Amino acid sequence: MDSILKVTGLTKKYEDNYALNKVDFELKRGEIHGLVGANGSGKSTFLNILFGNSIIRETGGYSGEIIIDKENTYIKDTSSAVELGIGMVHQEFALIGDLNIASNIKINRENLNKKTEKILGKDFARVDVKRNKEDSEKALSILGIDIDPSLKVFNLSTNIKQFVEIAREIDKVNLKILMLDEPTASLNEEDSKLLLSSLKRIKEQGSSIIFISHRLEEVVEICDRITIFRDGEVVSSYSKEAFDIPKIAMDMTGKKVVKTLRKEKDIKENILLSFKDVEVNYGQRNTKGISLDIYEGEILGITGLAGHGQDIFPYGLMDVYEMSGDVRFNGEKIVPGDIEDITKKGIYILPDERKEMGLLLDSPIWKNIVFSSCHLSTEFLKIPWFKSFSPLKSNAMYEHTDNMIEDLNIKCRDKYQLVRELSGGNQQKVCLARAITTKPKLLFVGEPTRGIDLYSKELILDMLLETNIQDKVTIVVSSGELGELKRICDRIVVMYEGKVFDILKPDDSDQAFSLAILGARRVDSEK
Amino acid sequence: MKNKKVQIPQIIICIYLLILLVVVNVIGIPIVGIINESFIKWAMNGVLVLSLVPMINVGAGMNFGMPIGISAGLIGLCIAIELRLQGVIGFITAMIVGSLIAIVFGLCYSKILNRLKGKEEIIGTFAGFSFIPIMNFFWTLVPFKNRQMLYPVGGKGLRPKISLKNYFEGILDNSLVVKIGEFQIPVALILFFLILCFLIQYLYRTRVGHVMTAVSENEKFAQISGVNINKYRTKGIILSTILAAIGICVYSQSYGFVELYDGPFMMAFPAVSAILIGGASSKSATVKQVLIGTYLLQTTYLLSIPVANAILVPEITEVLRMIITNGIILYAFLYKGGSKKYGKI
Repeated sequence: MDSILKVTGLTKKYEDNYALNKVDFELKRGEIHGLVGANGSGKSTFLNILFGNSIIRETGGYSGEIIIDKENTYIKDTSSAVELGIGMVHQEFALIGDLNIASNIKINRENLNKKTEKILGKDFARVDVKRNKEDSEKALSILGIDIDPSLKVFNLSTNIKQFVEIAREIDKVNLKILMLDEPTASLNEEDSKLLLSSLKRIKEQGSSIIFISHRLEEVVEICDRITIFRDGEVVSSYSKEAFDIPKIAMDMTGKKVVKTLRKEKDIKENILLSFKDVEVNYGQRNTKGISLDIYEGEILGITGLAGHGQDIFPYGLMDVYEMSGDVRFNGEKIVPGDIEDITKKGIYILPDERKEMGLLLDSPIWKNIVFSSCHLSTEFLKIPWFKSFSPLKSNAMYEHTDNMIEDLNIKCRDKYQLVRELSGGNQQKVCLARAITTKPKLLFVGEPTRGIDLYSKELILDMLLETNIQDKVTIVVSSGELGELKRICDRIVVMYEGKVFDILKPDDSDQAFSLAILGARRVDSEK
Repeated sequence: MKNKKVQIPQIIICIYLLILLVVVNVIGIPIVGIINESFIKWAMNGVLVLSLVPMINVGAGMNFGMPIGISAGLIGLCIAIELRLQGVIGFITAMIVGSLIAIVFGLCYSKILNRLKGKEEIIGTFAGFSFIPIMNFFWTLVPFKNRQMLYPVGGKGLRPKISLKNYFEGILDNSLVVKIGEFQIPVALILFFLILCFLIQYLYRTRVGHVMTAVSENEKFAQISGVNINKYRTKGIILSTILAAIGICVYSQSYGFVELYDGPFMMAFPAVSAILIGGASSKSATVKQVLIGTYLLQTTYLLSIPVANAILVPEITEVLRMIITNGIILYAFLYKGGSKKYGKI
């Protein structure tokens, strides 16, 4: 096989730091090539260069050679990258919600009515909606998705949006290289499988694919070759025959990853928080009759397919979704939506959308860590008698932050560094530090390991276990990563269509879980 | 956090200021008088500019609805005159009554703004503009008896410009004036302004201030952390309204007149312009930016009047004023849009 993309000596400097240092890379025609590496290892920079991202140009461009289809090129902006046949699917969606699927897929490449085009020119020709639809259907069917392309995009669930995004790229006629940055991060396991198999079909059509993912199992499953990045350099490269997950993981982090595992513990059935016949409104959905008991001292996992309501409990309490019904905390009735009262009682929430809701990105680390405690307790007040108008104890806050940075091993310049500049894993640690500082009784955590590399993942899971046991915090983790939940949780709730479908034990079989997730009733020996 | 870059509006205004200074020297206008005057202008307008800070820092944008707060202050002033209170007592009464009314006005204003989150600036502009006709009704119909404030003919309704000569004109300007050579420093006025600045500065060192700035930075974050956002926004908006009421009292005692009817119409614009020159954005502002911005903008105004009168048509001053004020606001909005454009792919 000849190579479609060849990169030699690619180097990119941000001020004094090398984001990429003399990277050599080769992509063969019709192969799926996996890129793996810890957060901040340079994978994203690599893709940004290939896609002509404006950040690269604004920070001084890159050096090195890029040869596409035997032609030496300099990718100066996004449109030249598209002309060269490069397509990219970003981690965040770039879709227009008010347009329908077909318009989103054919955007800027619309089929035009030939007659009007002749008279009025390209810009004012009538758009041929019918052919747009046909093209979209074709692209979607390659992905194995059967959906009416005249639906509006904002109505779609996250996983379908991801497929629309990919369909837009593969609809391009001259597509040679498709780059996917963590396409499965926001998908659950079922949809990931669907996506992976459709990638194989795209490959058969002759395009080459660069695939980034933190889930090594996936990478190993579908890639023909894997290149491993560490600290801006290519450490090693394997082809299919030599795949070995532990070895790849070693190469990524430079050290051995020890998988976290909970210890068996005794949970008395003391109900800490109970939902009884609760009604929740979210998005355009409404579900009634939801009940769940959370026991004191346990780690409870909540899983299910995306959009089936894993997050209704924390978001319902915090007024993000509308919730009504009988909710009791320690036997005492609480009103969902009365956020001040709920947080004061000791319920704290770390949302799954870390950057949008979980952090003050443009504030320094110290403020992110002490914020909630300043707000909730009198710990950092100089003159507690002044209540809200008391000045704050800056020294105590700084000292606490320093301790937290050391305890949780947050990698940063100092406590004044802006949280925006930290990597995903360290941002999550800052979130956890804030939660721990408030000393909650019950902690809700959403997708604690989303977008976080292998090594940091284990650290964070470890931290959750430690908080649970040492600080006696009851933890509710909602996550699509079933494997992780099984390792840390005492009980796992499976949500289906907005309701508690089943509660399983972590040592139940994978099959039992898959069935429950898909909404099939369990028929096992218990009955 | 430690972004100490000098922004383009500041550079432009400083260059403009330098040119004016040179021209003033060439024409031969005494510079000492202008400097003395600049202190008064600084503190006189400063409180109004300061009144923008709480609202910006609670995420409600620039307070273009400032006429609402100003109207509250004007009612306070009128009541003090109606009661024929002179000197310090009159001034303090005006501020207290004005503040109390501002609390009520601010509460209603915050109800509107909390319903229309994200569009505060445009809503504020319209709320402010539509509030003026309502107040005009009030000024004509209010049954005040003091003849010094009524229309001389007919004796009903308040006149557009009420002189403070017999009451508290220059109460802050003229007390405690320290003379150093030719320089005159109105200590009472500046001190009053600085105390208010200090109080606001202090607020942002407390728990309330801490939470407020977080609300303006990321509302969802604050909500998830258990902050009742609307409560804090209401607090910030009321505080802004109160400061605007106090601001107009300070402004009026310097100016010597109470301007009713369309007087408060355009008052928000120079204030917004000043804080933008100081380097604030519509998401965060500091007291330091208020101090710098107000001084630069007001001194520019001050200098451009004699210069324009000497070398151009006298009427050009007002035109120049408008160009500077609104031009800076427009630039700031453009600049905000620009940074967005380059921020993403």
